[in-house]
Amino acid sequence: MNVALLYLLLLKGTVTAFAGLASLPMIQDALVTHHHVLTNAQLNEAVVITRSTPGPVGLYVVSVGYFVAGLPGAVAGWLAMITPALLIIPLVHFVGRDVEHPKVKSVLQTIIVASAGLLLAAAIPLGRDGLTGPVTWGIALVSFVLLLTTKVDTLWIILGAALVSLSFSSLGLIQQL
Amino acid sequence: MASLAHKDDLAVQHRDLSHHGKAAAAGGILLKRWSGAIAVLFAASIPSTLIVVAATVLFAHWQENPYAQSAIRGAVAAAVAITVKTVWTIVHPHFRRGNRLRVILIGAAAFALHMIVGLSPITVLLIAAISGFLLPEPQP
Repeated sequence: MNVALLYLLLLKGTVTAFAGLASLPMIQDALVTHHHVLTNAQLNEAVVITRSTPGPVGLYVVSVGYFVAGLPGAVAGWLAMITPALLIIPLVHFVGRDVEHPKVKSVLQTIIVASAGLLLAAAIPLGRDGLTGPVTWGIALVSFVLLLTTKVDTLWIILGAALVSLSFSSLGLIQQL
Repeated sequence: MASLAHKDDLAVQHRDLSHHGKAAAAGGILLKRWSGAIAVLFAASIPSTLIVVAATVLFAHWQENPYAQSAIRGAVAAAVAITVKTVWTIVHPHFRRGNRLRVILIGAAAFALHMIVGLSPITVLLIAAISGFLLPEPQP
């Protein structure tokens, strides 16, 4: 895929996102569903990579860029991630005070909540791809409960999940995964 | 010297947009306008980007290793949980008394418009923006 087009598609996701993973539905729609240059498995792996390394969650677009077009794609992902940050500077300067206006707050809140609904929709194909048996379902459920009820860092949850999976595999239960 | 209004802007921006890069850029502009903003943005994003690129290259190399694949399968299962949990992380600050039904309806409508009706995410977000303008949030 052309790197400029990749940048624009990733930018469409990041510029409309209000939190790291909120851009995921847009990027999944563009790169997995329409252009077929990325798989849901790679999208899941991009989330694993960014949640296992320091830095903002939105960095998963760098991994996505790499999976699609190698190092130039990773650069396109980085540019797509920082472009909204550069665009926000004049926005904060000129309309920052209007953010407290009830109408503006209402519009922002509706977009943020709608993006959560879209993210839930995007999680369904990711789950279909990643949760293939009782062991992976179990890992996902335990991880979800830990994420909801504890403050354990996601890095430890991912490492724990990887170790559990590896152990099951070593015990010869790989078909259960 | 940054004005109080600028500090307020930064606080609002940081709370509502919750993006490290955007906050870093806004912090930079308080210090030295454009050049400061760009310097802070680069300093905040380049090291972590390089780490992510290195990790992604390793991941790509591990595709052939059966042990790594077993571990990755478990990590991916956890990533699905992380993605679903992020839904709650996004919604939680808005899920206040008197506003809960509105939040549930907006989230469910966005989900259904994308999954059932088949609208693209950008169309759903545009509809959400128009709805938010026409149906304002109830004031506490």
